[in-house]
Amino acid sequence: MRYTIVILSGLLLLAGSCSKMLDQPSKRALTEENMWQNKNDARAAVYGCYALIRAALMNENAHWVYGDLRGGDFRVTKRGDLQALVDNNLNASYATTDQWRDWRRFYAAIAQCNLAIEKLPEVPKRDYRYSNNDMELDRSQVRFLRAFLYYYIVRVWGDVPLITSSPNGTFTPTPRTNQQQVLDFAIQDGLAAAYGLPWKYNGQSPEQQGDYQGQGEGHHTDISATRGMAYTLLAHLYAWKGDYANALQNTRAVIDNQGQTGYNFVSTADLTRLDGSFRGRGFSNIFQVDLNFDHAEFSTTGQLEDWTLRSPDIPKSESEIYIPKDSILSIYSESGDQRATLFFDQLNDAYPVFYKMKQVNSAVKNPTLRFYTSAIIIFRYEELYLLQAECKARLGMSDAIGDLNSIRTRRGLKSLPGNPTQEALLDAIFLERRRELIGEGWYWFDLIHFNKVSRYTQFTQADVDNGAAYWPVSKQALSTNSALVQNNFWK
Amino acid sequence: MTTQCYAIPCKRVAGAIVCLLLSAGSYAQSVYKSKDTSSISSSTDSISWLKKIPLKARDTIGHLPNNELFLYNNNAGAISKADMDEVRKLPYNSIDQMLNGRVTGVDIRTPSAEPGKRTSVFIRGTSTLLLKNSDLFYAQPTYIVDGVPLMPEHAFPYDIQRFDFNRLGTESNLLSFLDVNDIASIEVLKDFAASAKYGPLAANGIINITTKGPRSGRMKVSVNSWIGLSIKPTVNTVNGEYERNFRLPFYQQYATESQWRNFPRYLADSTQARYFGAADWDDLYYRNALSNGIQAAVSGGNRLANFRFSLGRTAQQGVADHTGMNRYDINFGINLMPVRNLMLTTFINGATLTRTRNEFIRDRSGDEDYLVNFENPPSPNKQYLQQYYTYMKDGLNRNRNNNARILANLHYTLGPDWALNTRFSIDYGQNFRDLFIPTTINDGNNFVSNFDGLSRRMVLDNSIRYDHTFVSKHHIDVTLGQYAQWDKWRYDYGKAYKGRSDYIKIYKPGDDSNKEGVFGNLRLQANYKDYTQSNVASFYTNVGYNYLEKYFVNLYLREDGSSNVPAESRWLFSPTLSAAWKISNEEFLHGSRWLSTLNLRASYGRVGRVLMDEYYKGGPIYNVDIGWDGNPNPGTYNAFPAINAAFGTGYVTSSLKWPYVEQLNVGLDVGLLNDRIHATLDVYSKTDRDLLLKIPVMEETGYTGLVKNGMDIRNYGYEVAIDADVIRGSKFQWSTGISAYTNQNKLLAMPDGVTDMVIGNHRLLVGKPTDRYWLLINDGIYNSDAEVPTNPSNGHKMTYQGATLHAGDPKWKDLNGDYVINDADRVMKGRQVPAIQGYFSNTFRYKQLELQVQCNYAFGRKIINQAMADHFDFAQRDGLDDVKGIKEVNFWSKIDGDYNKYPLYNPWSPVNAYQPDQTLFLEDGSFIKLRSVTLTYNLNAPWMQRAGIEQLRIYGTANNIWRWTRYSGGDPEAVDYFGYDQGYYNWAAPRSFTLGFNFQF
Repeated sequence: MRYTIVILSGLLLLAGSCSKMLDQPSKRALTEENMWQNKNDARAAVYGCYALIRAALMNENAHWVYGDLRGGDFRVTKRGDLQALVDNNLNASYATTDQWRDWRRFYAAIAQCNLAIEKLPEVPKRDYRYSNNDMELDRSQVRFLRAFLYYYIVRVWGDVPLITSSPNGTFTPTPRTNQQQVLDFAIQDGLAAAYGLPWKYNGQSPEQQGDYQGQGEGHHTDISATRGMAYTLLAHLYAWKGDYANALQNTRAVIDNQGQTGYNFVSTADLTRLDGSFRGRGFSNIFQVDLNFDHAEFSTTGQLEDWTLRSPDIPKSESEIYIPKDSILSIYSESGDQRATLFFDQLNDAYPVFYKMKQVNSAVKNPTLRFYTSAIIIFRYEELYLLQAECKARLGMSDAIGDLNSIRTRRGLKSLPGNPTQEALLDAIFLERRRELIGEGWYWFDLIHFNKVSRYTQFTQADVDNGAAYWPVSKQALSTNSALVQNNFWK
Repeated sequence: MTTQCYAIPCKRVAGAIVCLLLSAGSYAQSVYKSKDTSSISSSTDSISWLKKIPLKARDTIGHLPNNELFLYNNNAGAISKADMDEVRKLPYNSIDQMLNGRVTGVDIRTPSAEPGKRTSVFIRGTSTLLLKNSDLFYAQPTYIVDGVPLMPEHAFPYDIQRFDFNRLGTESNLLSFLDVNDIASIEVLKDFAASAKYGPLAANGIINITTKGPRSGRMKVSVNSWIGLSIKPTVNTVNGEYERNFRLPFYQQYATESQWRNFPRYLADSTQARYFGAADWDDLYYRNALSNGIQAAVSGGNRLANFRFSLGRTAQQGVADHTGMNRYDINFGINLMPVRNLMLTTFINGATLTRTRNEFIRDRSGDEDYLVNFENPPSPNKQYLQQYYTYMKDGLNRNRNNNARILANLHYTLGPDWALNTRFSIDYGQNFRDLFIPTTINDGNNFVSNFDGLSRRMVLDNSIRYDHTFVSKHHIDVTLGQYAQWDKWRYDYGKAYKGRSDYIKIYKPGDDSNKEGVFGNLRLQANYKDYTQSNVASFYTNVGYNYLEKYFVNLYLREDGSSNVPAESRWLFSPTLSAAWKISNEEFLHGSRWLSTLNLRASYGRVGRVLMDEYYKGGPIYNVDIGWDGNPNPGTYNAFPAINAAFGTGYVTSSLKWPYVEQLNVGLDVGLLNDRIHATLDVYSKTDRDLLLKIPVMEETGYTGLVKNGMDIRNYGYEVAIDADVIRGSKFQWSTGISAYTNQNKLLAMPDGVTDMVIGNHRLLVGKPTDRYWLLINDGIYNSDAEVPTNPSNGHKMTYQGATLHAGDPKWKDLNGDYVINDADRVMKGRQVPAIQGYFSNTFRYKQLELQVQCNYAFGRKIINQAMADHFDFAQRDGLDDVKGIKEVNFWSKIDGDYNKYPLYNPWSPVNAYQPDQTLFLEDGSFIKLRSVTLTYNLNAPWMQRAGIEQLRIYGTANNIWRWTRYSGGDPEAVDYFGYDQGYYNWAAPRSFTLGFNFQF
């Protein structure tokens, strides 16, 4: 009988512990009720926004696919999907083209921003360490990022659905919103962000006090959103809208506040050298999407280097893409251009190497382990200057050429003589942007912006008017959002 | 929390080391299979011994049944089992091999014959979706060994992996732990009458394994040993010449100047001995492989205390790539009856399995998460290849699994009608993998990784039973019980790149200040840890009734709670009702001369399906998912931790529920002429309901989908098995068996009324099967641009998804006539699961000589010949900095097939002319195989009895000797889990011969 009691008591004990045994919090994910509780949650969510932007831009090298490859400066050695891209055959059937047509990753970043903008204000109530001031700063950063995301996708897809709040479980089909309205929304975000962001993360502004995230100013330079970045973004938003007066006002807000921002020009050598601008965190970049070897943030994929480098830098006999020698000579046709020599290598080979980025850290060299760590430069000072030159040119201001020349002379070119026609000046600015920003994800957007797609590619103006310059929408997006229509040209 | 839960009962159980034995005998003598007098099974002894124990209502078979002691197999169950006495002679070292072609209702997929590698088993169709490797983990049956449910592996390491090849860790087949000579029986429990008592474990079916247990009686020793030889396969090796000649026609017809310029260098120079020398790589790669096994057991004791102890070792070499496995196992079982009416049974089993794995570059790239330069494939020539193999010897590829299984069972009888039982078991598994890849074969950078995985399942089951026969007619038994199961999986994984030298093969992180670890730079090292668990608590009751052993009714009710389901829907009620009518026990059939057995049975029941992931218990989740293609695991941005809404996992809707399975089974057992002919027929319909599915959601929400309950899948079909003793002479006997198993599959519903959905290269359409390929239909080739049809409405040429078709592109059927070839023009075609499969076996005996011939077949099954597609698709793959560009040494073998069948498409075309998902590459995968032939000689001489030798037999076997198939690409069973033949990645089972003996005294 003794044993019966043993067994029965065992039974009873177990029955009592049942609910305990089943109430196990998930070890592998946070549920809504455990999120947004404290400062760490809030900050991690903000960095989630940054990180998702990085994921969207690096996924299958999207940043260069959208910004550079369609323009045709780069040629392809053998990859069929890239050839289709260079041929502007955007409906081609490759796993990668499916990804490039698809905007989900951008909308994931937008959704994360929407969520953060809604939820951050709840956190100060729950965690005294997270003040309202902290919250305002973080929310301003997220606003900046959301504005940037809309700016980015409008340039890629044209009219896009404007999603401004988190779904909360209800998913209603949303049509595309007119590009102008999307830009207006982004401008509102940008303005709000500029208001709440510091010039620097040095702990000496009302917006940002003390060490941010326990790190000094240098850690955040060019990476965490600042007021200078917001103004730069605003200038681009206005310019894309065609509102050059406002665009100019914003470029000036950055350039005239050089004392606050510390931005300056970079020499061609410093731009291209290892740990130069493509490591960043310096005075010349305005906004970079970061990768950093020291943080063990690197990748074998998603970098332009993965497509442009080859032996002896990395163990690969042919790069995926290259710029042929005659193109180089025609793009950099003016004598003395330092870029022609520093941006390229092995010019006399069949496939010259595009050598602008080569951020292969010494720790992964000899022999090379293909972990790339270059940051994506979104905005830098030279680019902003060229934008300012363009704004001034569009507004018929005479000092436009001065801004242009200040770039030209820094790259070893002669100053252009005064008073060209507006058209010639815009052409010169366009060509200068092509030379300066090659491989930085600008060229295709410049073709659109300067309305030169029909001149430099196989598309006619009618094609462009029909939507050829923008990307088709993926079939997944079309099938899940009934209100969406395909771009006319790519139907 | 968990610890407390189990600690208390555990202690009590362990403390009360007293108990009554339940024998671990078996069904070794099947009711209707021909009796094998030479069986060394201990079951008979156990039974006679058991009868002396006042355990009323004990099954006639001394069977240590299951997690719930009292619910022995009721008469209504649909069970199929393998004839272990035959299986024991074959060189099989895992359960799935033993079942393949020997039972009904089971579909076994073995993508590679690499010894000891993970395989996949599906009982009665696949009821979840199989789209990627991790899905397989959720579709496997539960293996029960002596009532201990084995712990399955978890798919979660795939979360940090970039490629969907091998899971991190050893990838060993956990079913390789048991020595075949320790197994008394293997049964496949298919319907819920047989398996509902296992609760949610039965969702994918149960494979119930009973080992040979302790027995009382005279001490017996048995020794079993075998040796085997697997024959090196013949491969049609080729060199650069062949490949060059294969490609040139494509170049001549289609290549542009720049494509010519990219003609691969290794094929360009035909004077190079490296690629154009003798193609004799197979000398280094393949071998005639040896295997052997030895096992010894001793058992005996008296009825108060008895035991069985066994030791075994099995070694098997693979024929390819120097693979192999080695297993040691040790088993100890003891029965004690310290006081009247109390039995304690304890089993302790341990096994260790080491494996030498293949050295595929693809698999290595998956391990490394890094792609080396693939421009120059390995040489087809022995001289050059030898160097590579020499270098490889500096590497490490150690794979070890350790497994321990412990069972303690305590049984107490109270008077004639009452009994109590407590059972506690642990199944504990560890798997270690140490990998080191030297600089010499890895682009100058070495790589090290260590995986340390652990899984543990604990089970506690308590029950009480009342059992009585009233007025010698009405038999009733009632059982009440409760069950608890704690599952935990964990792993630590560390990897590092670019170590200081090839002499340092250990991975140990350094400290942050000097940025250097033992292996090398700290930044090039990464650690991962993951942990997940799943607990189940259950209460059950069983009421059984029979009237004069003619009419049987059984009702099983169960309430299961799972820790992985949201609290509000945590408990699932699952009933099973079964009934049987033993017609042959009716008076009107008594004394029938021809009809000896007639049993009609039916069951209907429901069991829950445990969610293995922890993601679903509280609505939308947040996780760290900030990677991109090729880089799945970053965790920080600017060194700060990041977290995001789980866009990649999907929007987890709140209030998810248990998925569950409903199954209806009707069966008939017929025995004719004193059971000389025995037939079993089962008809089943199994419906999975409320399965979770990620359905597409508006992409602009950022989510990849919406995770919801509501997918229903039905599997239905029949199983029939007939055995007959055709000749029963005193000297000569012939018995034969034949079976057929069919399976149809149908998607009944998807969440939210979705009826049509595409996941990757699969389409799910409600009302259609889930296992069909989704293919474009080939209709020739466009020989000129003019042949490409023009859409009369807009004057545009026909396109493939918008890319205009040209000369040299495939002519695909435009099913909807819109002049655009796209997914709408794909058809769902070709079964992955055979429409019908089964076995055909014959046993002949003449005096002491016995010959057994085992065939199996599968019809109505299709294969995509991806190996062929990939070979033609060289233009999109060669030299690419992508897994597609990987070439193994096996690349230098001619792919079997009918080359005339394939048009000369333009391989550079952006329409992806040689994509595998087109009818061009769909082939019939039906087959008939002569799986094994066994010749046995049983020595039976008077001197043996005098010498105390009970059994001595020798046997020889031949395996995989012959096959018939219409499939052009070799062995139709050697394809991946999803029906795609990946050529040399799928190793066919080699032809092999063994010689062995059984000796018992």
